[in-house]
Amino acid sequence: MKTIPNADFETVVLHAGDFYFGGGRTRISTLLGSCVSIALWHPRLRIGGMCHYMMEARPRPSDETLDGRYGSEAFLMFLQHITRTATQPGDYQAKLFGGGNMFNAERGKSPEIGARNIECGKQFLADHNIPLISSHVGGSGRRKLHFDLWTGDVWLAFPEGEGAHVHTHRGKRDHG
Amino acid sequence: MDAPSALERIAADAARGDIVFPTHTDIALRVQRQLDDPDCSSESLVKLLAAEPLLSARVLSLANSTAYNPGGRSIADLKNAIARIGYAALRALTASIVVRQMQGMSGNPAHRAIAARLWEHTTHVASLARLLARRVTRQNPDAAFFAGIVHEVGSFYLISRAAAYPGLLEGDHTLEAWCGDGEALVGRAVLKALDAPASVADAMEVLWGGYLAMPPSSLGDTLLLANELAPVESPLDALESMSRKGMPVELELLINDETLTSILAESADEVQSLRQALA
Repeated sequence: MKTIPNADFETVVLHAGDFYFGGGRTRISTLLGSCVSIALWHPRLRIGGMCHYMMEARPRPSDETLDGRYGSEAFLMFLQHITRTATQPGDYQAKLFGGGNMFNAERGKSPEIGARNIECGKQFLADHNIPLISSHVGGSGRRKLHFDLWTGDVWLAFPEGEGAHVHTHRGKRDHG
Repeated sequence: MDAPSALERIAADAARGDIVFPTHTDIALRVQRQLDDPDCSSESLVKLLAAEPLLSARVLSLANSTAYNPGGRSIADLKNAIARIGYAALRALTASIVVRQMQGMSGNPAHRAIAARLWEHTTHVASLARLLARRVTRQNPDAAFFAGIVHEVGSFYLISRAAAYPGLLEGDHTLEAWCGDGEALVGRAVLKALDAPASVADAMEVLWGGYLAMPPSSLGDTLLLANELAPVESPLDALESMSRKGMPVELELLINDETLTSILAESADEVQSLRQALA
C-alpha cells in the first residue's frame, strides 16, 4: 500500500491484499481483476474503508496476523475497525466490485475464482446486515476504482488490455 | 508523417472548425437547424423531411418500432410519426444520418469496412443507452439515444481522414495519442458542428474521461455503461490492443432491487427494434 499526497486530498493506493480504513479527504484507489473490493461507508460519520482480496479464505486456518489477501480475513479487519469506531455494521453502506474472469491477463487461473470472490463478499454483507447499495461485478478485464471517503462516491473505469501497462477503455491513460 | 503527428494535425484542423461533412448530409443538417428554431412547425418539418427519403424512412421505422409503438399501431405518414417520436428523437435520427454518411467518406475500402463496423457498434450503444436511461439511470431516453448515436463522431471523422495518412489505422499502438486527448479534441469540434445539445456534450466529456459513477446516474454514466455492454465493440479499440477479443460481456450490476441481466433480458426486443430502425 502506498500513499500519494495530493493538493486536495490524500490518495491511498491498495494493492492485492491491502486494506485501509479511515476518513477525511482520502481517496482509496485500486486496480481489480478477479479480486474483489468492498467499499464500506458510514454516511453520517463519513468514515469507511476498502479491502482488496484475492481468494475467499486460506486453505488452513492460521493464528498469524490477519492477511487481507483472503476475504474471510479482510472481513474481520472491517469488523475490527467497526468496533474500534464504536459503530455497527448495519450503519454502513456497501459497494462491491470486481470478480472479473480475467481470461487474458491471468491465464491459468480458474475462471471461477472471480465468481467465488463475489459470492463470499455478498455473504459477508448479508451475514452482518450491511446493505449492498451498488455493485459492478463479473465481466472480463480490469477495473480501476476510486473511493472518496469524504463523500462516499465511487468512480470506476474499465481499463482494458494486457500486462502491467494499463489502459482506460476511454479517455486518458492510467498506470495501475 | 508519424501517427501522433498525423492525429495532432487532424485534431488541430477539427478544433479550428475545419470539419468536412458529406455534401448529401445537407438536408439532415437543415432539419437539425429547423429543430433549433423555437417557431419550428411540424408542417415545415414534414416538407423538409419529404425531400430526404432516407431520413423519412428512418422516422417511420422508429415510430413503428417496439420501443415507440408497444401497442403495435402502425403509422404510415410523417406528420403522425413525428408526433409519436417527438422532436428529440427526430434530432437523434437526423444526427444518425450525418454520422452514417460520414461512414462512407473514406476512399479506402479497408477504412470504410472499419467505419461500417463502427456504425454497428454505434447502433448497439445508442439502443442500449436509450434503454439504460429509462430503466437504470433515469435520464431522458431521447437524449441518451442522441448521445449514443453521436458518441463516436470523432472516430468516424478520424477514419474519414485516415486515407491521407498512410498507416494511421494499421499500426499496433499508433492510436495512443487518439485515446489520450485526440478523440476528445476532434469529437468536441464535430459535436459543435452538429449543434449537439450541451447535456450531450457534457455526457461525452464523462465518456472521454472514462470514469463511471457507482451507482450510475448521469447521461455520461449511461453512455459509459452502454459502451461497455455493447456486444460489438469499437473497431478502433481492437486496433489499439484494447479489445475484448470477441468475449461476451457478462457484467452484472445491482440496480435497486433489480439486476442488469434481468433488465437487458426483458428489453431485448426493444433494443433490437431500435437497432433495426437505425440500420
